[in-house]
Amino acid sequence: MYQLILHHVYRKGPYAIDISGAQNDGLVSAAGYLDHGVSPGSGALVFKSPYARVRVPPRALWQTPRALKIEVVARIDALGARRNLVEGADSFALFVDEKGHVWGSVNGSQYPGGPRTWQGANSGLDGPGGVITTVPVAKWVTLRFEHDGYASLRVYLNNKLIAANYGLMSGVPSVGAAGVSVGNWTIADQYQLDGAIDELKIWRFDPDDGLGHFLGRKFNAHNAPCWGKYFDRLALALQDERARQRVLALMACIARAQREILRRIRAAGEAAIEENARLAAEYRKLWQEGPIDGPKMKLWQKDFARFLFDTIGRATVDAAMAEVSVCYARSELRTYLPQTCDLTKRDSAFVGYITGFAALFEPPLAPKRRD
Amino acid sequence: MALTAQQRISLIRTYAPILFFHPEERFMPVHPEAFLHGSALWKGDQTGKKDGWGLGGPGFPRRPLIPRGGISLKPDEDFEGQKDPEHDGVGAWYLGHHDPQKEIDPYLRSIDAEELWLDCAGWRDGDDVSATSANEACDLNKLAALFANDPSSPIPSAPWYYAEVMEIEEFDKFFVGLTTEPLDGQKLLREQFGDVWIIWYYFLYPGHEEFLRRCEAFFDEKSDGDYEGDWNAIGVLVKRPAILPWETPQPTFPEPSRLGYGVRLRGLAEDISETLFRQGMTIRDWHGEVEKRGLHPRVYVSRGYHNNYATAGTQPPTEATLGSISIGSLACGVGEGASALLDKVKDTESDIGEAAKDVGLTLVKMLAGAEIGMSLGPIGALGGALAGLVAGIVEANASSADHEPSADDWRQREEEHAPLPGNYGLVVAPADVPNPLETNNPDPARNETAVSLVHWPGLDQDKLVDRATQLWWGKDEQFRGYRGRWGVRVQNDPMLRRSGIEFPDFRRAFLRGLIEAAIKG
Repeated sequence: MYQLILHHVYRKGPYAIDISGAQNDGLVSAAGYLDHGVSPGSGALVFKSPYARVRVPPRALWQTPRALKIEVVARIDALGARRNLVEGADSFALFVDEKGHVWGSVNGSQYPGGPRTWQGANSGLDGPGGVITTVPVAKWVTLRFEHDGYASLRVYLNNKLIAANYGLMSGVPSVGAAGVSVGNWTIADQYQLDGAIDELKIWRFDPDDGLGHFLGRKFNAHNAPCWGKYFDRLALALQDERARQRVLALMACIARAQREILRRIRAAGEAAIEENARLAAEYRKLWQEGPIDGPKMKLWQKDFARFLFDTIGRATVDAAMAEVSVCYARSELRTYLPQTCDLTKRDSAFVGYITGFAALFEPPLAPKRRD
Repeated sequence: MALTAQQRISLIRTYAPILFFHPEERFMPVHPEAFLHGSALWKGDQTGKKDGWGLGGPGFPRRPLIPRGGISLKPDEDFEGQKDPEHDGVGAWYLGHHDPQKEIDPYLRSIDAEELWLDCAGWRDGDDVSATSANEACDLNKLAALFANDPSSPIPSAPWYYAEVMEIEEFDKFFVGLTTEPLDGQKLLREQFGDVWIIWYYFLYPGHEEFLRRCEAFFDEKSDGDYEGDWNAIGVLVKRPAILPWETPQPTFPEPSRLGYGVRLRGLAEDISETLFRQGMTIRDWHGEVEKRGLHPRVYVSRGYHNNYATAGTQPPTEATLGSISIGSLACGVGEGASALLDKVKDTESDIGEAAKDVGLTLVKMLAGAEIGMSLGPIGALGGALAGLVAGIVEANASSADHEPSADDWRQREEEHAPLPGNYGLVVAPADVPNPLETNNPDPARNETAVSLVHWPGLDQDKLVDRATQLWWGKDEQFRGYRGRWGVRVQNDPMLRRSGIEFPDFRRAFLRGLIEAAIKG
């Protein structure tokens, strides 16, 4: 899911060189330097001046973070004011407030199409079980921010969950023109950190993870060309003006349904997220190793269906499927994407896999079949 | 004081690499002049479509700007095809020809609207660009035959490299854009290494051939990832000694500090790199992993890819540190057309947004499900499509749950094959390394064999890069050079995986690698 896009281990000098491979280098201003940070020789930047910061320009990579994970090894020397650790312009922020509560926030919509507003979780109000946590002063700590791109934003102190919000309605938006600012605000010299930062890592959602996983299955010379044709057909449809509109309308419909189901799973809280992660890991393994129509996969499909219905409710699943059914019928997709490969002859394992799902997820409010 | 040509030559000779090839390797590095002489030159427009290629028309057939065998690198052969100094039936066109009216160098300048590319062996379906020609894949078999190392091959070929020495004073310009300002990188390197030379060795392979694991099932003309004209390089970083080698009666050259092994990074997300491919350099400490004979590094070349490695045997994917290898864009070419279009959907359709690829995948599963449902009867097309929808959501959920692809995942998918230890194909060594193979080890298992062993032919001075007179060195602020692609452009190649590549920016990649290595300590 996550893709590392920035990794700074600070060294003396005016530049923070990114060693993640994504070349998100930063310009260091007015920061001091410690030879020994969290460990001997690790090096750290010291933020004492009101002008101290590291600024990372907003490259294309920051335009679609969707999900975001930040991990920062820092030392807070004084509270009494907001202390910014890292902030993406108009997008996300990780900071400590005047009382020492750790905040993770994103500038997202609270309902589809709604105006953007800053929201998130802080360790003063959103601690698990109502526990309030403040960051220790003058001690090296590891703070982590995780927004899953759907519903949850969680904040950790030294790997312990200290704040969580499972009710978000949108992912992490694009970073604005002011870029990413470390130890200071993005807009002006404000909210400056009083302390030091040894290391910073930022991850975004990996947009190719799903497709990569799908293609990680053990294809063979018999079924692989068939799947190649499916993708080619989709490409052709997207190039044809009339078909494109139909396909995009259906894709928008699928996107809404998919997002809503995944959001609701993640909105169900820590136990559901944990169980979902376990099921997802098991699925990845089964898909990669096969057989995808074997008894283990059948069992997994049942487990997942049970988990899904228990977690978000059968009615939610049915509503999503009904909406997509209508969109699918309207799309007259098969007119625009005619059959070119018979999977029943080419990929019997996939047929078994699909029929496994079909048995568990029958069309609830299916409109009259058009096929 | 700048190095003299003779001093540069002595450095190049001293650190020249020994290349070890896989027994099944089909290409060896060739002389760029031979490649150019054997090529036609084409231009295309920004659409990449064949009806905009070369000259002729309107319509087909199309013909190249310079026919095969017509490229000349001699300024006194600036005949624009009107004379045939070689009497081979093809006129001569000087590659550096200047058009005074347009004030351009039409055979060197390559821009989106007029992109240049070389055509050495044409396409798999022939040399023609006609209304019916496919032009979808390069012809590696023909390339291999053209450059076969035997007297009957059409293009005389022997292993070759070009080399040059960079002094630290020349580094500044390469740091522009690398860090925010030019001088800091040089300072960083100076602090780490002191005054240094970087000695470069450049290799041009006629063809690039891909053997990704699992891709066998998908390989066809449209998806194999092969391309014409494959450049790679080795960089040797040497600390400049207080007493220079040539200042003593018995010159002693220092040991290098670092080696940079050129690798083509593949499948990087398009918003990290403008093209799917990006040049990388793997940095290794001379006293660490580098295998050597005296001051000559042993370099293992992966089969078909021509990436360079410090050790023999199967290699993990390059760029393992960047957990963003985009298998979706790579993936043996499957879905690359859809992938490119879905990227555009991401930018234009706010309802779908950044989930475009996940949604596209769900749609494909729905399509497949619908067809299965139709064929099987009781489920029906809609039932099958909805089962496909659930399968797509499951897929999206699996990638959205918290996990990071581990290096092992990628390693299994993208292993490359350098020759196995001790069992080599061609081995090419400098003349002062008469036997680069281990043959007298008391442990017989450690003794090495090679199918053939040759020494780098030619004179050292002929291998020196001279950007003022050699027109093929690509982008350089100071000198003119050919900026186009080194192989045929092909149709239906949205990610430009199978079209020839431009001369890569090795120098910037090496310096970036050195800086990152210095930061990592």
